[in-house]
Amino acid sequence: MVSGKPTAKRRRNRTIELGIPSDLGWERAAMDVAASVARCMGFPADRIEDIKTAVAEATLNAIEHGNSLDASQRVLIVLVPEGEKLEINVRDRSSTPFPPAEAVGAPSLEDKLTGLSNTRGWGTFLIRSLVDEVEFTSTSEGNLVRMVIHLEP
Amino acid sequence: MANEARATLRETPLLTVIDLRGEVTTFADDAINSAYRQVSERGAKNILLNFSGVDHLNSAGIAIIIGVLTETRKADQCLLITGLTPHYRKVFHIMGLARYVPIFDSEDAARQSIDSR
Repeated sequence: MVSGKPTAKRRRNRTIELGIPSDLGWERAAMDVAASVARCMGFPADRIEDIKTAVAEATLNAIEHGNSLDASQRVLIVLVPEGEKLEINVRDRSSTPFPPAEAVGAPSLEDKLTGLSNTRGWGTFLIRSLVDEVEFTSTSEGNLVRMVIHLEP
Repeated sequence: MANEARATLRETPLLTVIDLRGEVTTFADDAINSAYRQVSERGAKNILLNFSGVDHLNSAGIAIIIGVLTETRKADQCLLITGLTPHYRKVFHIMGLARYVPIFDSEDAARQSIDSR
């Protein structure tokens, strides 16, 4: 029987952490690290591309919206390879919580093409489309996006 | 740090091609919109965006492309796309963009579609 404590320790030992400044462009670093970890875990090339885009979009949101492009505030990316799945957490220091899930629908391209809404606002939609599990959590310390991608779909 | 976006123009039979290179992110706004304005001023009707030299594309970059698509629809121009990797082609499908702008495997295939109209 495996107790909770050693499991937590093993999980910590396998964790990869990256802290980046909230400057546009640094999301590439998060993307590259996630791709390297996914490659080591044996993810196929097409899933690695999905992971890269999802991590880049989550990190971009954290930089732009979460930390309001304040380079002194860091975005923390934590990757946890666990057997047949990769968990990726992206955390910012935002004091503004995520909008409730029911308030965030799929963006309407037609609205964007006709000028009824801003052409941006695709990040969350792409993340939801490209990973197997995603959770958006707001706490007093900031916002967290937790993504899980399975080796076998 | 970023591999700056560049957009260069090329006149070919039936198509005006905008060759994109580097990273298509929020920083690509000036390069892409400036290229689009130039081809519009020349009276281009069929504009092909060639992504084959692009090594990174994100949602902010795709938003710029949506802006260009909006303008081409207003100006009665035809926007076409080629050079997307299979992943970005999938992303364009997920976003629904493929319903509004035809995506081709090659520049020749895009030209043939214009020629066969």
